[in-house]
Amino acid sequence: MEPTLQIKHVSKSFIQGEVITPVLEDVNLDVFPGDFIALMGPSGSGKSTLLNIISGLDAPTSGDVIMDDYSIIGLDENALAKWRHENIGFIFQQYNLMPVLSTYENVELPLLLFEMSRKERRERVKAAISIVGLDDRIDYFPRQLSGGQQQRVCIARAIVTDPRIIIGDEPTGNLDYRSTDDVLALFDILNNDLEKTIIMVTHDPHAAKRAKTIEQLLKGRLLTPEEKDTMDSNEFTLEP
Amino acid sequence: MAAVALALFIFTMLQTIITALEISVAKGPGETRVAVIEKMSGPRTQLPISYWRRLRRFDHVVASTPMGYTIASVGWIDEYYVALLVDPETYREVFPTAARLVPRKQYERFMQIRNGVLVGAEIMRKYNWEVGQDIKLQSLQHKVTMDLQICGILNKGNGSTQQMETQMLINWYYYEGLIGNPGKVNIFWLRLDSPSSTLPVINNVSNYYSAGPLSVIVETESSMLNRLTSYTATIQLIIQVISTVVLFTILMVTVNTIALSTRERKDEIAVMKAIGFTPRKILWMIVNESIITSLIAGLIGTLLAYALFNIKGLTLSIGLTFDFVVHPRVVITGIVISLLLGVISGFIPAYNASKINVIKALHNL
Repeated sequence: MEPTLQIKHVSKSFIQGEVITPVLEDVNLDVFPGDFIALMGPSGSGKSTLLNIISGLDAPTSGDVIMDDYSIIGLDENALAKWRHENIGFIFQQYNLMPVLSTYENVELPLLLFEMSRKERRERVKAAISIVGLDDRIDYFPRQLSGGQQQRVCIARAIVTDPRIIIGDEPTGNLDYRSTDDVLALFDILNNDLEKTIIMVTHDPHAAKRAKTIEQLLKGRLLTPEEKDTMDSNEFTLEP
Repeated sequence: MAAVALALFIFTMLQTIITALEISVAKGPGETRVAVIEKMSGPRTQLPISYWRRLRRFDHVVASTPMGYTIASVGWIDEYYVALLVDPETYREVFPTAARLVPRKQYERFMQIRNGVLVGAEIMRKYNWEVGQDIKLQSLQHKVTMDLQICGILNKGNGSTQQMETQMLINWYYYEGLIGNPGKVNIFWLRLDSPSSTLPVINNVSNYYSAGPLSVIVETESSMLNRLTSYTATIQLIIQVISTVVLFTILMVTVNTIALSTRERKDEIAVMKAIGFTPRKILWMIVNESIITSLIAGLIGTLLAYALFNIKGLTLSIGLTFDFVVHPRVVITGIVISLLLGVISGFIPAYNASKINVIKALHNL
């Protein structure tokens, strides 16, 4: 099977004046259709940076990110935005919903960039809202929803464009135990039933266990399977 | 939004005042008429009526008439109007178009009776006067009461100014008698045989009186009106400066407001960029928002000014009468300025928003 996304020898350093801080070093990762990858690692290990590079929000210092044999490195901002719109669905830790828009309007937002009839748009929005089980909250504003419900709206917004990859940046980081379970159950549905590819950064081992693969980052490097076996997984999970 | 609405309200008001002043000046037609006035201080200094005898004998002069003016109030009400003191017979020869706007029989009556008065249509409407009615007017300068009979109505029409509707024509001889026959007039109007005669007449008349006790200058009707209203040019300039300052200030306020609002929505914009809104899309979205807000505010401000002037109506008589009406040109200018305000004030914040770094913005939440 061909990978959906390939991370090839990606390195990233931040330069401040004369100080160069390496964050990622020669990271390689193949993401296949239907994968559910949990990215774990202590703070500062480079998880968010890797996620930003995968989603085209940041560029690596060296290396390549390839989707369908095309590199996204070097695309200009407008082309990258278009690429993200067509291929990536984002789920944020802070939900990041538009406070002045209703559930329906928040989910509809990414679809406004597609040329499609209002009817088709409505059907897709309602279908996405239905998947996350918020049909009865369709006209609610974010302030009228609980944290778990807001995250579900965020998930609906992420899947409404039918993206190739769903990226979750600590999607359960702000949720209580019960809401976390609800959201993870949704991730299971997305991955198993809807065959969505998911890459999720998490500190929560309970959340990570729901993934098919757990990738661990340490000091900017992805650990090999052998290294993972020899490491105490607590090293990655106890740190906030 | 309120700032833009207020700015456009003020702008429309100020421009309406400027337009009112412009209209009053611009409506002086006909370069075959020239005015003879005192050289140093213009029509405020009166000339002896005896000049008339000589003036009518200059070459190219086909008709001439003396004209004085007084400011007249109606009864003891503080409403003042310009009353032109004319010789009905010769006024008609020099200002045939204006005289023709009065029905012939009414004008003949004006010539026949010494205390006749022709009253502007607007004044007639205001006081519900009728032709044939006896009225009393007070002269502001000479503190005399004029017992007058309305002979006819001065209507606005082609070739006349809108001033006609707010003026009165009174028999100069009658007024002279009331104030003790001083034999003075403010202006002599000469009608010439052709526009090409203007320059020779100006030279001949000016030279003839240059050695006399009261030197005169000769001006065309339009320059005469400009002289009468020269102070309006200064007022116009001041108003224009105020208008510009108001607009510039509001532009700065609007830029700042939109910049603040955009900064407050930085996280929302970052999310939009993350989910696929291109920088170009973000830029146009914010510029459009700024334009729409500015246009709505501009329309509100302009309509408020329109309501104030056009519905309530406002007239100011200061020697000449100024009708303050919001003209379509001012409305269109206001809308165009709102549009420009929207574009200019929205562009810089929109550009900055389109360049927001998504990672930094989301990281700072």
